[in-house]
Amino acid sequence: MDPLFAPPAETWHPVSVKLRTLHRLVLVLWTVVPAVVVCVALALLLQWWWPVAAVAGVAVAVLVWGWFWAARNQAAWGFAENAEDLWIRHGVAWRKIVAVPYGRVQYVDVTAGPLERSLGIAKVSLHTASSHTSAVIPGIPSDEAARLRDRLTELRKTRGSGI
Amino acid sequence: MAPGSEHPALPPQEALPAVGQRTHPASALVRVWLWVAAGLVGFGRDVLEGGPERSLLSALWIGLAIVAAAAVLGIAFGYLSWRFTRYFIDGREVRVESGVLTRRSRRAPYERIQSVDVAEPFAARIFGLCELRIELAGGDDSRVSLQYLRRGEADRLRAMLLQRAYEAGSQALRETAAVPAPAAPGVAGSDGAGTAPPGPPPVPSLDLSPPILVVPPTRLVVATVLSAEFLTPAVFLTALVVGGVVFPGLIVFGVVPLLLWAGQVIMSRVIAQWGFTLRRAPTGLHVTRGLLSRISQTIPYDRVQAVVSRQAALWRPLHLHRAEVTVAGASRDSDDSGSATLVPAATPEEVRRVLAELFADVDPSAVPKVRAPRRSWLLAPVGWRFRAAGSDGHAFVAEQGWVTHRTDVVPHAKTQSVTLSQGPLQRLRGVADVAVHTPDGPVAARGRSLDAADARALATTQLVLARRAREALGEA
Repeated sequence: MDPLFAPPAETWHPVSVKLRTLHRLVLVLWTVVPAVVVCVALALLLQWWWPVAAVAGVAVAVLVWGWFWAARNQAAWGFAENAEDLWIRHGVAWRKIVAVPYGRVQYVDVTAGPLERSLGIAKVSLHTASSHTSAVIPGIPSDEAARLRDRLTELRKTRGSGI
Repeated sequence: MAPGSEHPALPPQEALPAVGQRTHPASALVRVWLWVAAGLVGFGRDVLEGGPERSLLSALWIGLAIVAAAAVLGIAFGYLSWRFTRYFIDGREVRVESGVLTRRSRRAPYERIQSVDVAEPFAARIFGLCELRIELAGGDDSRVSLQYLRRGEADRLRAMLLQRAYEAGSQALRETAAVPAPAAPGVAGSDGAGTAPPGPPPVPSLDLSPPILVVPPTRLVVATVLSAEFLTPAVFLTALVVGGVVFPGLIVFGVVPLLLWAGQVIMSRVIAQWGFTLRRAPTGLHVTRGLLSRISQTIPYDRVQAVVSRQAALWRPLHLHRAEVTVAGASRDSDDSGSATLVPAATPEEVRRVLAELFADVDPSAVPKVRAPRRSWLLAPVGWRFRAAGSDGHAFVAEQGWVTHRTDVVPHAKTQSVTLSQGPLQRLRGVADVAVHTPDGPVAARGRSLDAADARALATTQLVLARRAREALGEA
């Protein structure tokens, strides 16, 4: 592992593999449905077979690439709870670490859309007084997300320092 | 309070009787110019649409009638709104009640008062009046203003309200905190809830302290003319005029927005900062500025988060700098109106002196910094030479920019979060960015394309230093 993105403690706590499933579901929805519609329209209305093949080819390519991207993206997410701050890392090509001291957390959000709820995962976002702090952890199992939120809120109180 | 209470019906809130007072009667006249201006616009439209058959004399008479009617309406509305506006000062708060049909009541409890400023908007200045602005902590609608008062009355009220706010603040502090003053009084930029150090409250002085910084207007004009913000529209404008000689007709489309742009820069950098004077006040640095509208505002010590100092390319031979502050909870549009300005144009020595007022121990030039390595030229062919970041026991400092140098200074106790990031090209060169986040404002402290190991070390030490600084302020 690159020393620049090494965990602060022993390891990065990974996010749920269901994040892959979520990304892949969204990907399939957003490629297959439009591709099928376009292909059917081209085939039935115009009977242009070459464009149909081209659209189908692009859709398959996007699907294959996205399938692997989802896996790498999920593997790149990680967080680590230090004694004093929460570290979050993400990104494959553009890598990023955000470290937020517990005392600086103003509030913690847990959000889950319908797809996420059906998969039993949620997104935890931390907010500080700075809007540049983009501390978001997607793909946390719902019960763990609630626990994380409660723990962070508790730590915020004991180490809280306002602005 | 002053006698002349004309409103005995209101129940007193405490032992102190509530005294309803009116603002100065001439307040009714201050807003009349708005009506007159509206009348003039109406007259202008009338002339344009009237056609050629009307004589000049009749047009003038009609215009005069319109403007007079507008003025009368303006005075009538002004009188009504003055008549129905009263302010009350009692043992707990200032309350302003206004509104002819819909009554409105604004309250300013003493313990929530952040600053009390006297402003002189241009229209009010004509009548020798000024506005008392009371800034409150928290909330969106956090300003209560008294429009308009005589200067002497406003100064007297300001002193009294500051005194009461100070007493309310220190009383709240005595009630909540059993801990004796954690930070030594006088440590500028102390953090957290304790806005006022406990102890016998000194009488907050008015503008009697000698100014820390006075910016002469000539320097302001020279600095603005040489700044990138002014030169950009000016160069475009010249190009357009030169181009217009060759291709007439081109000018019309481009000139107006460019003139507006240049005018806006001159408004915010010269007119709004005219006679910029900085003084030390008990709760913050007190700024007075403005040519048309005199503005007097306070930059509260405990809400200053970070400072950025900028130097445009053409300012270098003149040794001039401009500094801006990020103030917690300041409105987002503050950058345009120039109220985030700490120093409009000053020598490094003066900037250091002002900075020392805000952060006692911070000296950005003395902070050891790591420079961006030569191999990062791929990401910034010229700029890499100017990129550096570092921290000492007091602050994180980041430098960047080759046309306009900027130095961002974040005291450790104000660090909100820390970011490390690396793009593919940066990975190829073994460099990375480190950023220290502060609340929204002009400051953005980023050490760009530093050596990866340096960046990581800076980020980890920053977290430790920030924690120590917070603990040292006794907030843990």
